[in-house]
Amino acid sequence: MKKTLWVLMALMLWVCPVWADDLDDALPENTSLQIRNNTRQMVRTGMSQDAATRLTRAMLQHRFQERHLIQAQNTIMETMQSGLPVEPVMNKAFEGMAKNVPDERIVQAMKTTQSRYANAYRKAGELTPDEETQSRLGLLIAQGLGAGLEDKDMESVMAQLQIRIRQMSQNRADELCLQTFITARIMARLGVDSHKVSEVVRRALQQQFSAREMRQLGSNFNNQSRQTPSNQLANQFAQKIGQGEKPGQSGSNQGSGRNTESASESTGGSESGSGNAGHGGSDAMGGSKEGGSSGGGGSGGGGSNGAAGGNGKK
Amino acid sequence: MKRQIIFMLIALGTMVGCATPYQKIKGDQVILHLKDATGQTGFFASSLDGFQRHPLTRQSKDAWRITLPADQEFTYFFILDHQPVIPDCLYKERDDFGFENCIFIPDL
Repeated sequence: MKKTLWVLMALMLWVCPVWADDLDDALPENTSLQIRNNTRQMVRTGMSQDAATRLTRAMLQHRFQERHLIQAQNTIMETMQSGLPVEPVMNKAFEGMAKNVPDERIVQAMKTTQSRYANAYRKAGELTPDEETQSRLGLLIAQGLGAGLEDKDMESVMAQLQIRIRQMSQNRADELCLQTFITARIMARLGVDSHKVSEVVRRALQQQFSAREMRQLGSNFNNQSRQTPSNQLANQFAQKIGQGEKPGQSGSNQGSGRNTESASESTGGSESGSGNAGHGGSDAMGGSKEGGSSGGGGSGGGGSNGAAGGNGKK
Repeated sequence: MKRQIIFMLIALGTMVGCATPYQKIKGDQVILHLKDATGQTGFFASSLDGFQRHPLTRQSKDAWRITLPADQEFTYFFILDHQPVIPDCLYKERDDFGFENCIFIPDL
């Protein structure tokens, strides 16, 4: 009898911490012990309880198989332990569920996202020792890759950048790296083929473009993409840059427009600055663009269906 | 002759009117449109709130519409009759599921 009591007490002590905490209340009653414990582990790893239970609940509602749910949770924990941003991986799970994608493919996409960010942040670490810049660059590279920039093309841009920044001060080097990948990201998001993105940006680096010129390049490309198909535009830009042309060199009325600080451009939020650099009149990379106003000051409506907003001249 | 010109102007006006842009900025908000005449159910999801599905109401017989804050970047897509759909937007990203998302970038 005494022995049984001891066993019962030991059992109670073991089970008690698992019992009735907030986290348990936040999960459906029929959630398995393994999933509960793994969710608890996510909180211990540093995720907020709200986020951990929200994701777990959503996966349960989406009828994830237990092993896929555990894999998804483990992917999140690995991401956090690696010091990578967890939000893109979490969002990938929610995105997949919103699209009604099968659970196995959602887990796969989460791993792909994690691996893309790991790769991007590793590459960023090769370009700068500054942690803040690493994080901004990592995000830019990851988003560029997510928009279609291929690994090999990103590598070739990196190689060219590394040659360029060798003789630069840390600040100037960081600025050039950031502007280079902002431009690459804009082009990739506009649908330019990966190798053409790489070609344009590499040529600009070979032609000793400064960070400011690189920013202007991205801005000009963005503005002109509303009138010219983006791949065709990339060919024109590559050719002009190869001939030694720089933004603001040829053409008339080279107003410098407003120059937004790079800091706001490079973080994940938006690269609005880069798109807004606005250099009135014509630009060097082929053809005229919006006059006067802070180019891109419209809504960015643009688009191939002739949206409103956009820039002054259409 | 005069009647022909008037007819042509009306036709042109109608065509222009039909070309609904995929986004319009109004103050600090963006209105996203999706042309579709056949979908029975429409939802919208974006990175603004972790891709929660928001039911849509038809703007007209052939378009869906949603209004959102225009102060930050986000990725988005529509779901019509359980299928993800995007408008012909300027900025896109791949979604790792074999499909694409649109990206809204403020001030671009």
